[in-house]
Amino acid sequence: MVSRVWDMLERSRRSLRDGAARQRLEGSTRQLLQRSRDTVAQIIGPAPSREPSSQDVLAGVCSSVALRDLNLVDSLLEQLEQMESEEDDPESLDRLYRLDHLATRLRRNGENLRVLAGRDAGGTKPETASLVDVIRAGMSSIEHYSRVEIGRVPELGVVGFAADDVSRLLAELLDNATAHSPPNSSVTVSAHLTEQGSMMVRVEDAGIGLPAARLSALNERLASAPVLDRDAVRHMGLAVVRRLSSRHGIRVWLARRAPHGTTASVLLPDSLVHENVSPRGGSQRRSETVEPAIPDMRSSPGSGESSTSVGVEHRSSGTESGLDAPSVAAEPVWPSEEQAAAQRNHQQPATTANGLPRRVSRSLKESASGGRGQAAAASTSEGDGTERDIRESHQRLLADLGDFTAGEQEARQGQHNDNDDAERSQQ
Amino acid sequence: MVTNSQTQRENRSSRVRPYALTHGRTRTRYPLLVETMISVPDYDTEFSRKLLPESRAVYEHARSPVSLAELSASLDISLGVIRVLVSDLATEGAIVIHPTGQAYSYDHNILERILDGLNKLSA
Repeated sequence: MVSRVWDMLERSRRSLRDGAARQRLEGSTRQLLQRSRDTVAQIIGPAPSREPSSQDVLAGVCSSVALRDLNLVDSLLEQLEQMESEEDDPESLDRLYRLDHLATRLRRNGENLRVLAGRDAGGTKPETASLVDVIRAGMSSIEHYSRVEIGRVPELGVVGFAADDVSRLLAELLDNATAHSPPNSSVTVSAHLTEQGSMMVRVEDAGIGLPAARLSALNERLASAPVLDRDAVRHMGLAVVRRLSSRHGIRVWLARRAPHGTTASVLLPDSLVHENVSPRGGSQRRSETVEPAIPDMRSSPGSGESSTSVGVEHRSSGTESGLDAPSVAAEPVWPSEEQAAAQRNHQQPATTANGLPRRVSRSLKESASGGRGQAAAASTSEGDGTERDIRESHQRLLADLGDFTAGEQEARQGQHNDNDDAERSQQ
Repeated sequence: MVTNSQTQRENRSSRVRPYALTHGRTRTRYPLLVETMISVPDYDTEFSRKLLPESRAVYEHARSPVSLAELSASLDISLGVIRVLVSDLATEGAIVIHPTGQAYSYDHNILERILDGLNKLSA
């Protein structure tokens, strides 16, 4: 067969070379060439060099269409957000929430398409997101989100470049869990820090559970390389989970749950776990550090109740922009140089992280156990405070205090003006 | 991270949707207006720690009396969400809702008595 094709090709070439025959044969030669090409293609089957490229093209088309959809959905969501924030009527707000929910699920579909096409789903932010928010972002994009209960979750974050992918991965697991459990049962998400500094997230449902054979087959698929095959069509969610987990070195496996149901475990490597600095989730940390300031300021002469609240508000809003929020907020009220120095030392690893906001697991645990005292103790024993350091920090503290009082005065002045304005408008 | 020049995506909407903060609820058990004041009668650190970030922020802010409008503005959470969170906290007894002028507007008795009083004054 092949030799026949070659014969035909050779003959057509020869006829091409023949000047006289060229004109006459041009049309039929082209036909012949085409036919021979087709025959060759039929015989040898799809050429290995050509097939992936066409697949690449298809993936490229899919992902760029998905990208356009995503940009549309994003602006739709943005407008819905605006409407929701202005809506006063519970009835209408409820309807807006439904639309928002549909659009968010649409966004998840688009992002999954991009993930499956091997592209970056896009929209990653550099800031660390709190784990609670990562879970809730995933929960936002599934159908039965209201059945998801958030259990104990440590106050830590997921690094920015992985945060959205982790929430997409969790969304698939949550979707599975809610879809395969009774409609009145809840699905619980909880997380804890392991001794190695990695984060274990568990999604537990109360369904009937999976037979052992099916469970092991699924786990095998979850552990294998993320290739798109026939099974990926039926288990789209699983394929997305595989893609995302292999991208970030995350381990995902399923297991039977004690009474009944299934537990999906997600092990985030310590390189993805970070101290929580999200503005939204950081509220408690912030208020904790602000707390000692209140009695301090109340005791200071001439500062009324109202001005203290202004001061606190001013600072808490200032911390939102800063990365090392707690230290910025607390700085002006640290009473001794020793603690200020400790503060600075404690702050150092966060600022010197070279581009990637990574933390060593030891310091993670320190922060997990809420050990500011530990940090202070460690730094004093290690540094033994050179005189220059202490003087420097002392001066910094004074400068900060100066700035602070200036800010306070300004705030009070502003308030005064506001009062005047109010009076004027009343008149 | 692989970033393609053509895969830039503007991400302007937040990923945690408002309905996820309230489990989709929009109605409250109590009449909560923008000017309604709330406060925490007995602050409990343990209780605060168990709350989700937004509820915790509300709880922490309400240690001194604060209005719903202020909460919404300073926490940057929409009023619709704040209402549900405050309602939940009030149901648990963690915060108290201060009565406002409008809260009495539904009380016909009081309105009639005021009307009576006004009539007597003008007579």
